[in-house]
Amino acid sequence: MTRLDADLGHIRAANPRRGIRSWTLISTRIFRVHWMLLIGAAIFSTIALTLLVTPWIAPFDPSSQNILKRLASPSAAHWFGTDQLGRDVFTRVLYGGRFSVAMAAITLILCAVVGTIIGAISARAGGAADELLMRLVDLLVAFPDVVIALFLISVFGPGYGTLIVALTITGWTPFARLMRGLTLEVNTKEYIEAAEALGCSRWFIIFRHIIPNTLGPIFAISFLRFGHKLITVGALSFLGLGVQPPNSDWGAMLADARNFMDRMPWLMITPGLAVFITALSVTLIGKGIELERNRGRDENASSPYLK
Amino acid sequence: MTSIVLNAKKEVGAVQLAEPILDIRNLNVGFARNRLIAIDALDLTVRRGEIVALVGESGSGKSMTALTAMRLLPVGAGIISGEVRVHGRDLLALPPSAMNAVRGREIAMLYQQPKIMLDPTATIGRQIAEPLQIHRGLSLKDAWPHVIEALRDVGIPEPERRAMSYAHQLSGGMAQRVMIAAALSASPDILIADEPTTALDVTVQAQILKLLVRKRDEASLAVLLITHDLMVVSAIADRVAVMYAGRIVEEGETRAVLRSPRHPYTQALLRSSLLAAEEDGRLYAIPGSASAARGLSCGCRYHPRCQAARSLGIEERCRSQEPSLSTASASPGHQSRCWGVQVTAGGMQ
Repeated sequence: MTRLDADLGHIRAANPRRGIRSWTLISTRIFRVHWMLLIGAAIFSTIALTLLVTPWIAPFDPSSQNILKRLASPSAAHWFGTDQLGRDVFTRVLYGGRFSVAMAAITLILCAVVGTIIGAISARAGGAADELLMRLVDLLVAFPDVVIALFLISVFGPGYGTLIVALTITGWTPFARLMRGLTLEVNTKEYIEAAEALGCSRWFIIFRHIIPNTLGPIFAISFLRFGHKLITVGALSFLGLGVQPPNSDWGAMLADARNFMDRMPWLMITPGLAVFITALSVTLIGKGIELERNRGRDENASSPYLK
Repeated sequence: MTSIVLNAKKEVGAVQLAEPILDIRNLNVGFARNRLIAIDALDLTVRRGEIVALVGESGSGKSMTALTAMRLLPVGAGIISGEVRVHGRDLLALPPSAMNAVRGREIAMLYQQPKIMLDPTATIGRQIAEPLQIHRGLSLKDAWPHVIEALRDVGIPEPERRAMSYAHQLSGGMAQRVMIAAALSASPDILIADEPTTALDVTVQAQILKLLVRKRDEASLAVLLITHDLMVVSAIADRVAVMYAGRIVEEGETRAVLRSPRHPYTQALLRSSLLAAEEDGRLYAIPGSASAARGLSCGCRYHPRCQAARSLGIEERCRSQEPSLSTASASPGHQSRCWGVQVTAGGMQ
């Protein structure tokens, strides 16, 4: 054994995170990204692809009932069993996922766009307008978002539109706060003054110079917020305020399964797991992006992977 | 470098007949918090096709003059009174929205640190296209041929490829060329260049100065060149104004001012520059600091550091009364703000 090998062996023996390290090595060597980003992206793209092609691959019709086979245990025909109306749970998880993930994605994008623009305007305007907008954010943050959503839904009636509007109204605030801080930072940059010296208007500067320079953190927080959105959509559907029968999403499936929880736990476990895995994968992507962004800056502190 | 660029200089007689593009009148600018006067009753005119240098040490108010003209003063600084006329229109009286139509279109600015003045997330082509999009209403696609032409014009090789690159891929000199292309793309009439070559190395400095002179000649551009480098001044400026503590202390044709400086501060500045090293090769340093002028309510701003006042024995006058700008030599327009000059001139009559 050469001296170098001996040293390496020594280092390996002293490193309790060897298992993780070999993972990170594959991730960083081959794909050149953080392992969290790699795994999150792999899981989420599988889920997204599956949900996209659901109408062609689903083994059953999501609403076809077969009372004779109601509340069946998992089998070769019905992978996740059947529900109280004899519908195939696997098919319903797939179709439900289309609603849940789409709703979460739409509201998230709306929140990100609205929050980013309001945050940028607030920071650029300064003074009373800034103060007013930020106090509005404080006010919205102080209320639990489900309560505000419940209020709006009770006024406008349940449905997709209301759900999206309600979740956007309650969900833009973290983006606005983050964007305001980022804008204040970018505002001090010399290229903003140079843009002003070229005659760029306020809007031109916000859209062409400030937003592109803040997209990294905005993307990271968007992914981190996705899980939260998915769960909120699920919670509102669970309360019967989102998707209406015969359609259903993961939250509505959980609500239906509640009555049979003691006898048929998979009715509840499968949509629950679906929410969990989807939220986890997107959160991993977000965390991975964040770590990836910080890589050059603070190598020792925040990167457990290849230096 | 000096001689090459000097050859490009225009005939002085022709310059003086040209119309004034930038006309600053009785400008006063100050900081509200510490009641500091940054610019004190400044008068300055830049005519078409003329390069006027504004020189002075740090804190003399040169950059503040530039920022006032652009109306991009930092928070805390305010215009007390005065006019900044471009083509006879007072910019300080315009509403802020109208200023956007003036910046880049009529008056443009170059900065000291070109690399940090470019947005890191946008290609340089897009940034050069911006003034065309804003002021001419062109789409990015329609502006693109102009962008390529502008890049070629400022001497960027392979402009089609370079237009797609980002600020971090450029050297300092390249970035300054890009900034010049961007500043001039909507063909403004006056360019304010705030220390455009200070951050560049000497060979690149000469190239950038030559480029400025060429643009001046081609487009009859008026240039207000802000610098502390007298080498740069002697190389390209037609006229020079020397600022000290917010006031212009001497003004005139470059040759007259640099060959026969009248104000003791200009003389000291010249002695402390590389143009005139001491006989033993050492550089002269002006005793005292410019902060001595802060808080002076009367008298000549320079008198605490002035040796001429002491040797002429007129210290009392320098301390109590402020001299006006008055004719300093036979050269047309050569003026200085000094009791000593006025006393000697009067004595000679």
